[in-house]
Amino acid sequence: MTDIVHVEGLVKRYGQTLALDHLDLAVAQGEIFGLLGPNGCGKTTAINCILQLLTYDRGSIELFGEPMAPSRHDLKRRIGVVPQQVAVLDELTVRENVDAFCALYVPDRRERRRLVDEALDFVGLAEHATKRPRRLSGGLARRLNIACGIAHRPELLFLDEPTVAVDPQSRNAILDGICRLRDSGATVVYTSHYMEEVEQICGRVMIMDAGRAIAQGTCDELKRLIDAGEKIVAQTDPLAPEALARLEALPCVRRASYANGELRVDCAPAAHALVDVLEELRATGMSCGRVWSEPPTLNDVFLELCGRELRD
Amino acid sequence: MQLFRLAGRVVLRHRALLALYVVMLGAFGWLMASYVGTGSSSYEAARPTIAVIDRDGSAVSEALADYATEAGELVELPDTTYALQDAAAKDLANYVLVIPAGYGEALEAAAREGTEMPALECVVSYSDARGSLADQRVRAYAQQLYALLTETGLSVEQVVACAEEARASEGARLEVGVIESGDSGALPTDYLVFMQFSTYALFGGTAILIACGLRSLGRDQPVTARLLAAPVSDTARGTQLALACLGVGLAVWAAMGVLGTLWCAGSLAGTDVRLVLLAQVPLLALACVGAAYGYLLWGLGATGDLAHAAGNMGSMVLTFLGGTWVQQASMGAAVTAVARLTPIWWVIHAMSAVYATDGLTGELVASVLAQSAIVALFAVAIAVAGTALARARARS
Amino acid sequence: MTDVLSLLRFDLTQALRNRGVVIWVLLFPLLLATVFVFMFDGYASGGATHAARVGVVSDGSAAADELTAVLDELASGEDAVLEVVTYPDEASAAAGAEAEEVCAYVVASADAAPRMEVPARSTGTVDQAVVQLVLERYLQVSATMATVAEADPAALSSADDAARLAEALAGDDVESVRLSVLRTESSEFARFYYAMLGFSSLMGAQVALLLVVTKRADGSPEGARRQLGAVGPVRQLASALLAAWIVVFVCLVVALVYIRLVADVSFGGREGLAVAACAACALVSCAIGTFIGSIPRLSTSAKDVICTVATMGLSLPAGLFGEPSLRLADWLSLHLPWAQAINPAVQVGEAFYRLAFYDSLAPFAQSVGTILSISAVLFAVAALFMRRQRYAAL
Repeated sequence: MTDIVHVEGLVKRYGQTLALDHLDLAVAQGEIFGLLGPNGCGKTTAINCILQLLTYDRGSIELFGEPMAPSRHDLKRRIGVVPQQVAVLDELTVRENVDAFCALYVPDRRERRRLVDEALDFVGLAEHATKRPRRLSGGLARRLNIACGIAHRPELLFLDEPTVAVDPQSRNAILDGICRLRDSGATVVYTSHYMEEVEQICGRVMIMDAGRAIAQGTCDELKRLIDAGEKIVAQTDPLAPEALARLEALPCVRRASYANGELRVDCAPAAHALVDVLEELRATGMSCGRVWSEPPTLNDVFLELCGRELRD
Repeated sequence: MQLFRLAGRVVLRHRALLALYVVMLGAFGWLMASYVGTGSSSYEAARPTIAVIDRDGSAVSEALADYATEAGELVELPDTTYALQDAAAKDLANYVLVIPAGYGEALEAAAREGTEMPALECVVSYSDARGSLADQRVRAYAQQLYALLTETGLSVEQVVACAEEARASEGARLEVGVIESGDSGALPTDYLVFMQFSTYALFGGTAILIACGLRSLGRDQPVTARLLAAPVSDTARGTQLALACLGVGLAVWAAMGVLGTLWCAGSLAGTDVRLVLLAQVPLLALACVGAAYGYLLWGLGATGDLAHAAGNMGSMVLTFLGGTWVQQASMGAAVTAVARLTPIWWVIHAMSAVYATDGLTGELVASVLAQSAIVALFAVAIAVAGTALARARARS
Repeated sequence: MTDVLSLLRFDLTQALRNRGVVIWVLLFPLLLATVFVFMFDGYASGGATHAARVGVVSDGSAAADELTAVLDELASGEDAVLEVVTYPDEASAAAGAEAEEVCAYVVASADAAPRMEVPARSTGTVDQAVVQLVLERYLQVSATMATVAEADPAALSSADDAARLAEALAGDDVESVRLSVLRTESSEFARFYYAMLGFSSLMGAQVALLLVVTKRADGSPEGARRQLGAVGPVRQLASALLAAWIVVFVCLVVALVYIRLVADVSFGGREGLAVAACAACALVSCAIGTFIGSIPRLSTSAKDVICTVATMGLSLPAGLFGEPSLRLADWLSLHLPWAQAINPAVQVGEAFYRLAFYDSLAPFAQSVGTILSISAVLFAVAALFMRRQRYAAL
């Protein structure tokens, strides 16, 4: 598979601050690539450098197999951007906004009319086409933000936290839309703080911290990177401290606790954790009500890799 | 030219700004112009408002009071300090003649017996020279009575009658003609005044329209990321936005031109169209200066109150220095020296030259074009400064 | 009371850190006053001792020389009435008059009586009337001599008598003394400065508007948050109004001191009362801001626009914008006196005017009373609006 985005050794400094520290990045054609990281880790800076909105100190950036430069309008024509903030003009209506930004890519007015209609339908804004942006709800404004970035049918789309502060319905609509874009052949670079979203739509994910890539791979690959297994929860009668101690003594168990009628067991990565725990409970003569197991999430991976302490 | 069109569309959506800085300022210019006489084919002498307080009651004082009613519009005023103060403070009368008690007798005595000359009293308005004119008229009449009393043996009543007769006689009337300007096509005064006041809108209005109207396309706005990511070169983007600013200037200029022509249509009839167009040249150059100033403010990221303040205060100071509010000739030497370093001074200077002429000459065209070029240089200088600042604030 | 005082501190900080307030309420009036200082300075040096410029076309005959001699005499000396420009022919004189080099031109010839020609573009000016008066006095000498010859032939019995009479008629013996009835020397420029104080008072309305809108639950998000607080709305509003009043009062006093010291505008030695007037002006400014801020179902930006339009619209008939607006003010005073009476900008200007120029303080008190009444009415209407909004859906 060819790399649509290929970044090598990207370095960007703001004075003394190293914003990007030899970042390498490769995004394959037709995938949704997730870019994760705490605030200020360099995600947006990386995207801005790739798009040549920012100069950078070192490194190479190739898009569609060709070196990217500020003057590569042929490449820019194939790219769409959905910035973090809702970047639309309050002076223009919804339709005019989409048209105005599409016009920067597609000069032909007739073709543009078709594209704008499609984009509005795509994000479900057709019935709001004549409204001014400030009259839209938060979710609709976000969808307009996306429509402005996709109307010209980009092959490569950068989405910078497109679902901030939107309701679950709008979020689902947005995520569905992104998947449909991928299905129609677009490559998407997606940044977000919502782990479940990334897990839901991204084929591969990169976790960044302090301007560096600290992990990269599919979600499953990332989960395997961390030293944590499933969490088992069982509704039981109160457990004696000795019973808890025996559970913790199992090789697959890290920690066990009991509160509010629920036993919680944090396990180490192991194949038979649930079976071992249930057998141990049965051995102590405990009867269980509901029992369920939660596999490790991307959130666990993120917190494990980036730490749990608050960031500036 | 997509960006140029986009910018134009964005500015046009700021209807409140357009209403305030184009229509309202235009209306203000029209209001100012409407107070200017548009010329007349007959002459009528200026008539000050005059009040008379006669504390004498003699034949002389009555004659003076009667004369005052002829020399101006009479205003009734009671003889109290408050009424006098009220009249002076509010300028109810340009001239209040107070004839002191015993003035008639004293004048006669001064004329016949050579005693001390009595003085009339008056309150002269501060508002304009009409008060002084009225004073001169009354003194001239009193002088006539005094001369007749001194040099003839006539009684006071006879002297008054004699003076009346003399003033009414054919030979004492001055023939006043109005110069036939024919069809010289000179610019009407009200149009000149309108154009002078349009400088405020052309400079400040244009600048504010650009700085505020194009705000959402500013470098610090979220939309910039989209514009920068689009396949438009830096040069093309910069040029299109700069041209959009120029376009706003041209649009304001055209709007003021149309408004001026509509509002002064009556007095413009018969005016040489070439002179009207020539007078528009310096204004066009000024609109470019306004556009450049707006471009500078926009590049600096001035918003809201700051942009309005920079536009309005800049306009106020420059129109004042330029001679919109006060004639250039009335300015002190120091002010004029400073004013010459500002664009509006040259604009008004050039327009005055067009106004003063009654026909188009090559010399006039050359002079107006040269002065417009000076104004355009201001635009270039400011625009270069704006571009340099924009560059300095660009990608980092 | 202590809660109001502690709120006051925040309100004052909010107002003083607002760029719009600093620019428009404090700096703009000072800039305007500075422009006036320069503007009127030019007028004072150029306009006061001004002589009418008149063109003369003479055919060189004795009769023409006699007239030009009279004109030249009036054009000489320090307090010259005329300034004479000689033209070789009538065409060039007409061109000079059209170009406004001279206000009119006079044709002196042996064949006909002197004639004055004025340009069609400006007829009936005071300068032209001055030239006309001079020429008519010249003509009246011979006309008067003719009537005397009939009425009292003895007076003209000798050539000497006739010459003496002619000389006396053309003389300048009669004197007039200019009374100064006003408390202080009046000038047409003082009126502009007083109007400017009226304008500043209205500009100050935006302080109260800002503070009221940010206190009302339906005015702004921060207003909604404030209304959830433990301090009641009346106390919050009281602190906002007190803060607005202090800010406007201080700005007005700064402007007052500036025009007193820099522009040398007189307040008739009643500076203390002028400061008291500022207090009343600040009150009316708060009332206007509160009134606009309390208008229901109107966005904050619409209120800002109303405030700006009201400021400009009400200042126009106060005579701030030059001669035409002064004439509008005079016209309104004559035909629609009530419109001037209820215009706070006019009343503020009037208050300072009356303070400076009248002996009696009654007219001043009347103006201040009007200002206070306008404030009371506006506050009352604002209170009504606010009560109605209390339970309105946000």
